[in-house]
Amino acid sequence: MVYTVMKTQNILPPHPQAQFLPTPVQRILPPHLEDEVLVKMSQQGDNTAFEELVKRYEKKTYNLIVRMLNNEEESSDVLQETFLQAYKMITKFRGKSQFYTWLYRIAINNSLMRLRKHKHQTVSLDEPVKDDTEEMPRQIPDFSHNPERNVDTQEIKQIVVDSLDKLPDDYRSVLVLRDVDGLSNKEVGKILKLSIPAVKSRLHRARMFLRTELSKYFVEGVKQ
Amino acid sequence: MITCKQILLLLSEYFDQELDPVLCEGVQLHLDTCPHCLFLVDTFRSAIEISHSFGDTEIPREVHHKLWEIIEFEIHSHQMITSPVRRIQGKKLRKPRKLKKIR
Repeated sequence: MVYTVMKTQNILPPHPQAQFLPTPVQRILPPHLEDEVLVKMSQQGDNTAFEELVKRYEKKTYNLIVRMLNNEEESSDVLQETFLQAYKMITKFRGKSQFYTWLYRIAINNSLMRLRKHKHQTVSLDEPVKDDTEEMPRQIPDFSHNPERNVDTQEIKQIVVDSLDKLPDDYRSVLVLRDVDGLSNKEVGKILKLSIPAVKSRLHRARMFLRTELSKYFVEGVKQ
Repeated sequence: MITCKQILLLLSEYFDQELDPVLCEGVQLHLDTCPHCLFLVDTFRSAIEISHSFGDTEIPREVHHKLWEIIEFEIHSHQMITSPVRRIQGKKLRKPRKLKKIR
């Protein structure tokens, strides 16, 4: 594919028929145009409108992909794939959902494909949720009260990132979209094509898992 | 009366304020009397809050540049295929039909 070649060379190859290309007209779009309008303009061939959509969502989409993959290099590739696909398929977008929901779906699908390519070990969350508090020693520090006071925030975030990595892909995508990106259950359901009860169930299990992982970390802290 | 086991299953919905008001009240009553579950609830809440606090990091400059190179390239290639200039040139370059030989 074109972008793979470009990536290895790290330069944009001159197009063989560059002399015939129409000179790009730099247009300035009116500010605060809604996504819907920009999408319609893009569908009618207005590339400036599409570029505006890329500007709006590149950061959010990149962050989503990084959290899914936990790998910067691969995230860069998936980000490119996502926007290229969006550009090619924008005419097929019917506008039944928000543009970002559609874009996130592409990003999540591409990320999941990457993850499946390099299968890594994850935990199983299919068993019923157990009350792990019974097994926990009573001296666990209560990390609920301002953990920043005792432990480096970056360190805690790293625990969360590592825990996300252990989660099965389907659970990870729900937790990332819902708790990290702050989308609603309905939006998550639309992106992942899941019913709301299914989103809730996966979210609950993923949260319980995350809580347990954080508790383990704090137990180790106590032992030390 | 809600049991500890039920609390465990209702936690997520309780935090997302999606519980039926009667159930929600039941959960609160249980938490008032059960330190075991209160501890569970506090740490559960904290795990969610940590996830919420991540925030977006800036996209690295190199990643940003690569993305825009590719987007621009795709847009230009697409313009070249669909632009009227090329179509006209295409017509000019088309081979003329072969004429039948007149005997």
